[in-house]
Amino acid sequence: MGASLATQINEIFERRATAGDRKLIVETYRQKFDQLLLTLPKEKRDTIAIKIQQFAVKIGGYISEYSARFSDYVRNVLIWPMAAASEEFPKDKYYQIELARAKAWGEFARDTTKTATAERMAYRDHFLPSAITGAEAGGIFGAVAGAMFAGVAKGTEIGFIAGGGLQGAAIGAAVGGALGGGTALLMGIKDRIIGPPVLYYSLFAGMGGSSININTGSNSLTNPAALAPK
Amino acid sequence: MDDIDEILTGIVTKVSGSKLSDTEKADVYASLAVGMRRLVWPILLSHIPEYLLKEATDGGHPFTVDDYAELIESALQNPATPKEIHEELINALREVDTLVSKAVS
Repeated sequence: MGASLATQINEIFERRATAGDRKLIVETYRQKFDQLLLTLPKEKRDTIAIKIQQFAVKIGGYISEYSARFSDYVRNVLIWPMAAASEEFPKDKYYQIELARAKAWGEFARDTTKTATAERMAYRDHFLPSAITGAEAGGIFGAVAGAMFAGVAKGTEIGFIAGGGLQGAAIGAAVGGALGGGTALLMGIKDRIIGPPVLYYSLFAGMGGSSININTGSNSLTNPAALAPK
Repeated sequence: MDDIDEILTGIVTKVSGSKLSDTEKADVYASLAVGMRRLVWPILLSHIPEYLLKEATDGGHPFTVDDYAELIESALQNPATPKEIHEELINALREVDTLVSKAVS
């Protein structure tokens, strides 16, 4: 029996990641850099928010000639270690998903034989079952997202939104159930693979306090007003 | 629809409509998500001046969020870096698309 399709896909990316001159740099620094990302000292969320905002604008300048999807993707990948360095980054399942993403180029991804690691399972859970069956196709952008958004708006359990696991919070309310099931399903899967079209951080000063919304999506970066504290 | 989105749509459409089990489909999607990120960091690191990398990883001083941002920017401000990431992503996705087409046909 040949290797599974997923394993063959892993091998394609691994081969390309370590092609040519990159092989030596990967062998030398992969683990060290991985460790650096995972041990960044914690900072207060308001401080992190400002730093992410500045970082996102700078990155946007370097990759502005490329498509919005690519720009968002690069930002999603590169901003996460900063977001996770917030003192209040939630250690919920989304943390596990993003942890898996952060470790994607490290030991986790290189090991194509184990399927039972926490990261691997978190990632698989990320795609099962709704993104595959379409059972929550509306939920990807609608009801589930709305519930998350409401929870965040109250400044309660999830005070800090970060990344792909909560993509619905960014665009859910606006898109709602407007998309058809099949289209929404494909979009939902792609968003989960790449990251959301809009990566959205909402940092709250507390119950009833003021909030700062940092929208790092490509659209917002063309509109400085969208980055201003609200 | 841009190149990356277009190729990814093709792959996801084929996998979604295939006879693979839900678990197998989830593995494929997870592999795509993981794989795409695996390409970013090595390319970035290969464009960071090595003395900066050594300085960051030698443990001589605490590595902070600010250090991280500066390190990444040192790579990205070279126009060759995002170009390489973009091209590698597209080429990898095309290879995956070919593989998936054969596997699910």
